[in-house]
Amino acid sequence: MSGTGPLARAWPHLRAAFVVFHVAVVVGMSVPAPEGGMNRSAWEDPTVQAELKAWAARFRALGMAADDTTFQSHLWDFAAAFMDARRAVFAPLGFYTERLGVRQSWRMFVAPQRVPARLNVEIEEDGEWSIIFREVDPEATWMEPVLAHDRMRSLLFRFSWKSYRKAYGHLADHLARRAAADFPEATRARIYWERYRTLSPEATAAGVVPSTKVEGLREYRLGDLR
Amino acid sequence: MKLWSRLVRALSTAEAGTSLALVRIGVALAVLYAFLTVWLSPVMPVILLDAANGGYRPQAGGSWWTDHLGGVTPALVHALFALGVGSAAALLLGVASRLAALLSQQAFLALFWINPGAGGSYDTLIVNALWLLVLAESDATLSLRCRAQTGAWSSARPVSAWPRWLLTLQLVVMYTSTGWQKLSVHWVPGGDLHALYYILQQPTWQRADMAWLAPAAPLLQASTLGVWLFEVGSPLLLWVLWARATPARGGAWRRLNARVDLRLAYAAVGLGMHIVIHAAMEVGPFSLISVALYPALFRPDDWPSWGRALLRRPTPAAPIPPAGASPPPG
Repeated sequence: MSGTGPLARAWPHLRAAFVVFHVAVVVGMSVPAPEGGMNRSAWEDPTVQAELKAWAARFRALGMAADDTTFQSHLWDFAAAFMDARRAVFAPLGFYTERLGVRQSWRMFVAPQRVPARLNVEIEEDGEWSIIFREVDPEATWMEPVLAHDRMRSLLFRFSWKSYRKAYGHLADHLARRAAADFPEATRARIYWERYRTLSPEATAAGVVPSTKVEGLREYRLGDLR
Repeated sequence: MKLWSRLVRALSTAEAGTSLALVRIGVALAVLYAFLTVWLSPVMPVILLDAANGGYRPQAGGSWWTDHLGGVTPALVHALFALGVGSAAALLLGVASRLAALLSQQAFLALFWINPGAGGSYDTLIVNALWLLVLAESDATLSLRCRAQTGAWSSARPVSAWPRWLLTLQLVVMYTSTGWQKLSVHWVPGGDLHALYYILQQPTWQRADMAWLAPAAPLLQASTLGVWLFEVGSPLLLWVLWARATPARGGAWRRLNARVDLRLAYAAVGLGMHIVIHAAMEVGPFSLISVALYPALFRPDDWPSWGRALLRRPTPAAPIPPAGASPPPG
């Protein structure tokens, strides 16, 4: 900004104030916070429980005696208080952080999902069941351009958690309708998660096959959907 | 007051716009990729529209903009994609770049916040980068604007440097924050360091089955430690940049930075990490938008010197005359 008027004289100071504000917001919002993780069912997930128990054991090793339950209870209370304070600080800045896109949420691969779930879609034709879609299975690629798209992968990752059961139900209903249209001879469809514990590198190298468990099974009579 | 005066003076710094222009081009390409790979894909109606229009949800939800524009309809969604792609193309070419960045960002927020679960941190990084390009004069060079105003594609006309500094800060904040959240016993030193191995076994992100990586577990353990240190240690980059900006103050750290360009080392590690992520995992435009910000790490006067160094051909060695041959005339 050029010129000699009051605004021109104030401009360098206004600019500096804005930059200080922006930096404070960006750095403040980037402080790690369990956004989206403050629900009990998420904490009961086997992967989360394994992490929490491992950290409780570390604290015990440092002489801070606390059993797993007490440790998790204290952690929950601390996280809840932290999130309350965070909301109070940033709520007035909603326009800047949300409308102008300055939010800072960088939870990327913070912990490997040790008990992942793989989506399966099966149909029955002439009394025989066959898998038409299975994540990362080159033999079962029905609707792959949709189901293997990175944005759908994000949804599938979430929907395998118990807290997203309703949303998973909507997706399963959608897939059943699509299967009814794409496979006119099919009589039934089954959609479910195949959950398993990822093997250690040693077990994988030794050729061990993980045992799997079916979750979220939903079965559809496709004739009803046509 | 002295500190404030120094800050005000520092923020008045101007420099050529090359680094900002390179960020602009990279971000625009990442944004175009993000828009087009959804708009042209059959996934678009499934994730953004309601069940009556091919979506998986009975009601499509909505973002702040779509709520104020009458709700999510196919016509509105296509119009927002058209606006987003058009403005990102203008940003790429360097036409009215601040306005183009703002329109592109708002179209992005309007579309991808309809179903925020169908996305990831790359969405957050994209809208942050676009906001910083709203603040920056990124089309002073390498742009149609430059061509129209000067008759040349490039110009050394100075622009404010502080938006480039904020872009650098954004990159550092992203890496640092994600690093500090990697508290899993599989990530932190002292644990088994198998985080990368186990992440690469998650079907959600795999491009293909990667059980074959099991024999390479020690290499992945070293990579896990390397990635964690790179991310957690990212604030050191700010110290590197400070040392390079203030060489006259002296000291061992500044002398080291004068001898070794640690920015290049940082960028090389980050680039390598993103290439591996992109090759092994389907995580959308994450690597593209991250790397798009890397030019902000470098001062505009670095680019011509590197260009000259790259273009400088080694002087061919003079042929060795055979023994007894006469020397060339002259």
